Amino acid sequence: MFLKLLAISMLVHACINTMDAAQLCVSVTDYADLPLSGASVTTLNLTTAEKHSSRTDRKGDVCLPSLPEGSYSVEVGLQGFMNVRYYPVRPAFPIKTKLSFRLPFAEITEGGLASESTISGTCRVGNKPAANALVCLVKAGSNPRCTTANHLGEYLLSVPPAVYELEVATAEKRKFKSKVDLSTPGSYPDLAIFPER
Amino acid sequence: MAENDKSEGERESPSPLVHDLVVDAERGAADRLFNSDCAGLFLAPDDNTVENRKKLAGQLDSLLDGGLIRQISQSALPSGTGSNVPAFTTGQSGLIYIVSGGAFFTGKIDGKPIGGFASGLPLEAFDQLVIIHEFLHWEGIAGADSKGQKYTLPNGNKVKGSQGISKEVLKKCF
Repeated sequence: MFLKLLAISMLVHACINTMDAAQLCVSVTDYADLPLSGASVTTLNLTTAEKHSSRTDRKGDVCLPSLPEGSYSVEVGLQGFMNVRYYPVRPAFPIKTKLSFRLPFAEITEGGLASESTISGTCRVGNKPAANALVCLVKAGSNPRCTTANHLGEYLLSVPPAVYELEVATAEKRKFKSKVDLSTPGSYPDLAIFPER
Repeated sequence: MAENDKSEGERESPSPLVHDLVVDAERGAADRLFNSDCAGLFLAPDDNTVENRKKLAGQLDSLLDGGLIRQISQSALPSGTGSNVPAFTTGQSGLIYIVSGGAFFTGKIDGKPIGGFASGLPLEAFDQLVIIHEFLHWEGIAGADSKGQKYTLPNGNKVKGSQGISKEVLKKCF
């Protein structure tokens, strides 16, 4: 009889606990409004500091069915996206609290295609690097694009595709001029320049 | 000369959420992975078997069929992302995004034909190249490539930066 009462008591207690618990459902999408599966969803109880983590399913959804009522922060994250956090969120029984997250992309770390022409190389006077030489690409009707060569005489310049006049002036005032055809976007590497001696 | 052992398998209907050009490019790219030279970008020589090439192509197909290859508008990209980025991958086993209205669809960047390694490449071939490039990111064979990062591919070849990866894809798969 005692055991029966204990069992009933535990069952009632469990039911009350379940009924007290709030339900929080989270939906996560990208900026194309397509679901993001595998996103981490972390709730932090702002009073007790208790954390709970879960992941979204194939539809980008996850429900946390038995959160004690309280005040929470909800943070969502996924590789390649920025973390987004909502707070305070106050899920309360019997309402199902629904949150929708739209994750912005993190910085894109992939390089692009050639849309400009990039010219690079080394300026030398004889065999010596022309350190700090001023290298300019000049085209009529537009401002010249210039850079200063480094201590090894190396330079790199990107410009809209066109034919340019390449002008180099070394620190010793030696000068060099040449026409360069950069009209096809892409890289024009290893152009060595030897200003007049 | 690479052996070509393509065998047609059953394919699910791809996601309706992407443009036909994306579907065509993915299917074309997957077909190229049946070529041993192209598959060598993904598989070490000992693993570069007919069976593994078939699995590799199937895996690429499943990305599209499973909605992991998507389209995204340029305006949704982080500020500072160049208009010369036709596609990107969010990380290993992540998502591949093709940029709507970008070079993948137009063959142009800011109104000018794509230059550099891709100069003169037909759009269909360029799009397949982009998919294979992104698949290398998805597989984790190449990570970030915007700053000239160096990677050694399973075929032993070393590549540098985004354009280095693309040049290797062009050399081995086309």
